[in-house]
Amino acid sequence: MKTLVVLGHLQVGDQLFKHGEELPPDLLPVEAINLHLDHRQLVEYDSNERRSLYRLFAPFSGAKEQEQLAKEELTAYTLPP
Amino acid sequence: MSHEPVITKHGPCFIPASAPNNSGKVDREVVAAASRKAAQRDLALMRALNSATPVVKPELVLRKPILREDYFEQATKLDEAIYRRGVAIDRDRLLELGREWFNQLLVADREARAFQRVIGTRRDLSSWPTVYLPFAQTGALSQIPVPPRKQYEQLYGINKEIDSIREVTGFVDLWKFGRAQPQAIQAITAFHDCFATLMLGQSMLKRISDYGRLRSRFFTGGHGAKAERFHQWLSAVDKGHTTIRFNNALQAAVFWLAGETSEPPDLLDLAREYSNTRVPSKADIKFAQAVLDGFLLNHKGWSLWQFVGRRTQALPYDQLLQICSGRLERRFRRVQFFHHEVEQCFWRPVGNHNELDLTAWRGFINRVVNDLRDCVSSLAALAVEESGATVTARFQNSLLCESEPNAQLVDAISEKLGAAFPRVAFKVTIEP
Repeated sequence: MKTLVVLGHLQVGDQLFKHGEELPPDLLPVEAINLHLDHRQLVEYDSNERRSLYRLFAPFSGAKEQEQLAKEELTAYTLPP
Repeated sequence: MSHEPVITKHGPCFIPASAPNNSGKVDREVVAAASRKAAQRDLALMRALNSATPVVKPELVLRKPILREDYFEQATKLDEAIYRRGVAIDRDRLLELGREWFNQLLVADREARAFQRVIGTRRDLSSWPTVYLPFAQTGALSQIPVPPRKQYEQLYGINKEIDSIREVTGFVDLWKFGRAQPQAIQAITAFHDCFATLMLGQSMLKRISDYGRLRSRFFTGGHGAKAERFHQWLSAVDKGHTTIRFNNALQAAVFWLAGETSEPPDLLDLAREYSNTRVPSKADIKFAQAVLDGFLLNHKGWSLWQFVGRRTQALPYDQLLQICSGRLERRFRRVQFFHHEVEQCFWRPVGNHNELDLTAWRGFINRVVNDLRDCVSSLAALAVEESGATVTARFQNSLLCESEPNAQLVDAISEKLGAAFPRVAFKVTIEP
């Protein structure tokens, strides 16, 4: 899975994204994403480099895909059985 | 026959490794080797003469709370009942709260990314190795205020604790870089708090049963940062719940153990004294609480510095800490004496001297205090159940009950705690 990150500033509809912010995974169609990537307005990182906050907290962000938390994180921060 | 004895003549027993020179002088290396051996022999002799005097360990008798015979049975039964009941959670409200926290997380991420010199676009702020690396690369490790151990300290094994205090092991120690990048540290800490709170909320959401109840062993004696984070989600708990807090459980437990009879410290007064202001801020009160708790658990010097820093997530001023802990030591002599007595039991002979077994000593103090606080929480839960209310979660510092807030609950808890811990006042408060 890839994480899309804004370079510089990017306005999508009413939303303004600043440099370094993550673009929500389902906000733009693939063609628009490819265009922004070609124009160096977006950069994509592999999920083992920078995880997507939207996919990590899918129930709260409404993202369709989900990303798994690490085992240590589950032990340290989540509710034990 | 000839009876003359046969006499064999042997050469010198010590033959130099190098060929003897004609001048009759001994080689310098040989002299140095002989000298080293002689020095080692002398050192061994001195060590044998000055062996560590056997430590006379005093017999440690700790006070124990006055409990009913069937206390442990009742407490176990109640914990099982609490686990089976679970906490009633409103799923929709939890989702709504989660969305609010997620928006806060995005804001915290945006604010942290503003510090581009340290945090680039590639950094994953939720992963410790990727956060640690840029700080280490920009020289933040050299700006940690704890001085490294000197050579003689390393040689003689003194102040071993300093090495572990200088380590930065995770997000809990990020504040140690505060001298290098204070604003970036603050922003990342805020992000991480949001991240950890959201992870707890998400795990709660996944584990709600079809009947809207949340069950976990964590609700039978949970403590620490996770218990504090659970309180951030309290508004998702169904209405009709009351939170009962024991505000001074640690102070009361240690005072009771030490037999301290002085007036217990008022947190607001301490905060005023330390910050030199009439109206102390939340951060000042948090600092005062951390210093007091550190003193009660016998943290001193750099150990206290680490304890307070981890609690407040800010770089404490070490000289202020010295002054504050010195005042507390002079004010509460019996606590000081109690810790001194306990310390005497953890000295052990190492070579030709005695050393304090820090790990065992700290472990013992923490275990004793934790057991007492757990006992306080259990007794309070039993008192609440006896007065007709239902406990749904029991933490070390608080209880969650299904009942309307009423003063009778406080009286019942105070009476029960007073019987088990005579002459100690626990501050019990009720929050709707």
